[in-house]
Amino acid sequence: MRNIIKNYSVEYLQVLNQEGQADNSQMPDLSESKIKEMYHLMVLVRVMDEKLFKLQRSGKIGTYAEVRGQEASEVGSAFALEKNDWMCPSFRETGVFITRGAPRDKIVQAWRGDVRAFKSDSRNLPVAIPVGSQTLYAAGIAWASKLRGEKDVTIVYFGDGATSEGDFHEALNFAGIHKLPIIFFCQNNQWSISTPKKLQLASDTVAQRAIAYDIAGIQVDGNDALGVYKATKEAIDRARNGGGPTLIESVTYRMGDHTTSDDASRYRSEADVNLWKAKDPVVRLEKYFRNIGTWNDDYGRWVRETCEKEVDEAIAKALAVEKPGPDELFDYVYAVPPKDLIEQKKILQEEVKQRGL
Amino acid sequence: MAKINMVQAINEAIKSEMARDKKVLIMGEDVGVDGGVFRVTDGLSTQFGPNRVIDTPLAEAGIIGTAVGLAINGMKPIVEMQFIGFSYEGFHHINHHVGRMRQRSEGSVSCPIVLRGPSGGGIKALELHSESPETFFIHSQGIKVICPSNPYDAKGLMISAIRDPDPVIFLEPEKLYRSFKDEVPEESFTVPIGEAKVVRTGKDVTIVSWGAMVRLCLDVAEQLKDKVDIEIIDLRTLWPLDEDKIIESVKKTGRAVIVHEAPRTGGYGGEIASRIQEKGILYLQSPVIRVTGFDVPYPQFALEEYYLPNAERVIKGINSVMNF
Amino acid sequence: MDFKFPDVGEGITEGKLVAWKVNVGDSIKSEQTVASIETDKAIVDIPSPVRGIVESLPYKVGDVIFVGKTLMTINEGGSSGVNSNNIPRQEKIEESRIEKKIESRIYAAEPSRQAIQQSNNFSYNSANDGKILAMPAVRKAARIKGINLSTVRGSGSHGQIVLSDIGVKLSDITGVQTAEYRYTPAQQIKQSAPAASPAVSSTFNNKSYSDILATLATKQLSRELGVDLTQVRGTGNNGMITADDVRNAAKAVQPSAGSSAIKPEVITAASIQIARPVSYGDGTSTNVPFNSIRNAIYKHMTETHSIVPHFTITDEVDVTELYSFREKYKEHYEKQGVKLTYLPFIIRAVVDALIKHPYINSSVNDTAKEMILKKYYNIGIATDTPEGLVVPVVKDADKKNILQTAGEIAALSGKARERKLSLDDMRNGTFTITSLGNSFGQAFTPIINHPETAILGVGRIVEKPVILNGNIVPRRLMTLSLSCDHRIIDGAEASRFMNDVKWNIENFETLLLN
Repeated sequence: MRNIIKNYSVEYLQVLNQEGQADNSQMPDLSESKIKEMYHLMVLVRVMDEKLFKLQRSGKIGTYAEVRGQEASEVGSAFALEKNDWMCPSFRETGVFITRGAPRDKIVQAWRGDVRAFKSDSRNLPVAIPVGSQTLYAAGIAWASKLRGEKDVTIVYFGDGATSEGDFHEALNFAGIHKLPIIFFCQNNQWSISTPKKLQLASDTVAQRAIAYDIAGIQVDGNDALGVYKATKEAIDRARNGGGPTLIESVTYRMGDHTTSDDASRYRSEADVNLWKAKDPVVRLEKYFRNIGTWNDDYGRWVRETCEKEVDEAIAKALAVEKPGPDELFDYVYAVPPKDLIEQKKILQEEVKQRGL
Repeated sequence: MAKINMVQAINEAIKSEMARDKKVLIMGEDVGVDGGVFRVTDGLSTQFGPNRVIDTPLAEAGIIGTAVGLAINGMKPIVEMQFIGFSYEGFHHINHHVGRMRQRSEGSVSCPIVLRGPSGGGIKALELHSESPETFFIHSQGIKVICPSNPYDAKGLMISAIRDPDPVIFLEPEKLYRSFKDEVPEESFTVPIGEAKVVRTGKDVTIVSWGAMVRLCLDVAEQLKDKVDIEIIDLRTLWPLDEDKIIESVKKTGRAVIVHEAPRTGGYGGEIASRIQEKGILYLQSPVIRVTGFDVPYPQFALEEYYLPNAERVIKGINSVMNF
Repeated sequence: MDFKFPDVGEGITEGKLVAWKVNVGDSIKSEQTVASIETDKAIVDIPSPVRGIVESLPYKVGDVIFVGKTLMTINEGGSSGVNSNNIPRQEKIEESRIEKKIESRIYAAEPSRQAIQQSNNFSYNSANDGKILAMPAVRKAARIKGINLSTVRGSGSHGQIVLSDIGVKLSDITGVQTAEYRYTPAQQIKQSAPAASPAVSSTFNNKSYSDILATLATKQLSRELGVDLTQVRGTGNNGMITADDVRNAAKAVQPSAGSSAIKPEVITAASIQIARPVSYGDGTSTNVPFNSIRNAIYKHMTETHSIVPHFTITDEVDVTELYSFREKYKEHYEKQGVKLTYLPFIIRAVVDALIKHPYINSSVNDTAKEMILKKYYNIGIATDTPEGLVVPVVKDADKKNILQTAGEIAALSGKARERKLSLDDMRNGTFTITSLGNSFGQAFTPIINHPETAILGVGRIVEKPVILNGNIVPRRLMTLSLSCDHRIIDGAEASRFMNDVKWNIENFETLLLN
């Protein structure tokens, strides 16, 4: 006997097409002002991103990972979260932090390598450098919420590269077994430094990996803010109502280099990048507003100026902060520092004093 | 003779070995088209093609694990970890298989890989980009661990490592990748594994160090040259340890200071100090002092200058053995 | 302002100018791109940090620029310029000097004044040619005292110079009182080697052991008593060394190489250290280091228990008559300054029995596999002191009457209390009596005072109902517990001995007649 015992499919969602035209049957439940709010945040992200890049070039912050081109993917998804939901980023989620209300100056301070910027009770985990490993602790966080019967969900962000790590697969498996209230949000920006999608993934889509673990999965146009919002909102509702995990593949593009230490022109062509310029997410929303007649250029200018001001203020504030001292090195390694660390801190403090730092 | 930096030296070593031996291949993230994030494998992909210069997916366990298999079946893989701190993602392979394959099979199969990557700090990099994990590898057993401090040694040791029948972990101090140039012969040459080098002779104090810290110690020795005569031993190979050279030096000077970036407790300095007192206690004038990082995880880079050993701390270490 | 080429990250120290994006005299905005520079990793666009007028661009395309060096100069805010013609040349000269500096000085951070100051007064090595062997403590002591170690001969192990060679105590250097080494390492090695059987020749003063004129028994005795036979003058026939000669020598001499017997550690008044409890940790326990008595007992008991197979016989002795006797006369003798306890009677009773049972007044030579039956009777009395158990010995108890014995017991107890017992007071016992005292148990299993072969434990006197001639009468009973070395003494012999002791005590009057 030889039968097909299971059939699977992969779903794709897009609300706004490249021209900013909406598929009304798929419109999410968002008021006009809410969409404008989302737009404002995306511009803020873009401005912050530009200025952070320049700060790196002037030696004022360390290595920085741009989010240019991924504004819709980040803002659209984070916009759907409640305050008490948990957010686990990788290292390219500046847009998510902004949408979640993180103080703007702290964002700049974090890229200056100042660990104090991450101190918060916001349920945003700090930036995670090791790729993919955050999917596992995100699953653990979701698990705890479920064990306590809480309604909070967890979202974890990662890139296409992370889906090659073993940790990612273990996380999906755990989440599937226990029907954890978690959203696995993959920003597939097509590149892992120089590794294109075809060298990174054996599968054609990331979304189909959900099938292997029998969890919900969907691929969404990552440059479509409304589509991203809708897909994420559905996943959040599913998780909150006990429906288990969702894997969302947000198809977008990394317009900039991997980080400020990278030079993408070594491995990809201008033409490739230009293809995606036409899909610019911020511009797409502007097109949408024009299409429905709620745009005017003054508004656009006002948004831009307001964002520039906000970011400039944040930068000034962050740059004025004195750099951290010996306390930060020792005080948070343990809940109560053991004898050795107390002694070592004294040695460092003495040295700092003597060197006049 | 041409003066090149460490990146170029390692590039030359890998290139010459890949040309000489078809079994040698290099695999890792972004090593091919991009030439590596530090450009250590620049140009290799063009010369040797995608079957020998392999751009892998983002999967350290996968990279190390498959490399073990490649090595068992006759290839000589050079495995790049983009930053050595990322090797933790595949550490279980290092411990489960890399160091054990030969012993487990009584020599029937072995694992001659070279696992290399940027290590150590000092360039204000992001978290986990500045690790010094040498003791984890040494303590796993069955593996050789190398850390050069200059372009000449880097080239010679890399060639030796690739030719070595045992697995070698090659720690490349990222601080030293481009910070200076050295005269390095264009042709292939080897530097023996397991041999330390006295890079500065002296009669008052022995400093034992490796990697970027060797440069720091040379600076300090130069600064203090009118007050104290410092002998500096660059280990070059951390394991197997060239104990004899260290003891010979301590017999002469009677004073030892060990300098390393890794945190103090459980750091390799403890092992070296222990051997010095075992074999040389009757020659010691003072306790053996270690100048190391603090017992904290390597911090975010705004605190880097507090964490790393610096001239101040090395001088204080020398003071304490001289003033005992 | 001098706009210095910023640290663009990740170890980049230099770059090559690809293109200027502005010209001299241009008015520029903050963040405006001014140059494209190629590093090993990427081509980076450098933004201006300020608004102003471009004053000078001192490099041309293809030039190498170092991080931290002036990339260009900008007139901030306003106009007018300083003559910039000289600047580029100056920069170039500095640059080549700095190039060398960067190669040799990667770490620019300067150390503190304090650190440098401390390095001004180093104490240099004296003779560190690898031929002088000494621990760091010794070297430091030599430095402090101004002693040249190359002139000192080392008496320690491995030829090392030790503290005593240079007349220094450890506390002189550390400032802390610690236990001094009892022996220097060289002596310690000689001390710890146990003397083997007579077959192994040990040379004393170049004289081979087998040359010495003495019987085997005398030689064994000498080993037991720690007497160097080469130092003993023989008073026997042909200059033969007798047992008495050995014993007399023993009274005058410290123990050297031990016998196969294990001796308790030498305890003198000076060497008894009171152990002070040391608390450390979390307060749930207190650590008390061994003092010298505890250490000796520890060793002794461990060794005895592992070598000697013990058995214990107990019996009850009717001391009703003895009790009455003592009650009747104890005050009388107290007035004479004699404390009349039961012990002198017991000793007398025991000695009398030992004379009849020589195997119980003996010791063993393990290597020669012989028993040494002693013809002298030194009865050890186990005595409790605040520092621990000590066993002073009543010498030649067979030659002393009860009063004399009582007197000696009192004297020894007094000395023990005042920690004035001498070495001699505690040596050469042949049998030991140990009493629990009046307030504690009856039967117990005392541990033999090796190398003796038996020990008698005395329990407290209890009034008990006893059947005499068919009647139940109250009698005073004392339990005796005799432990014996079963390698030498059999149960039968032990029982017979015990019966004799018992009879002697119950019929103590016969002891008075002796």
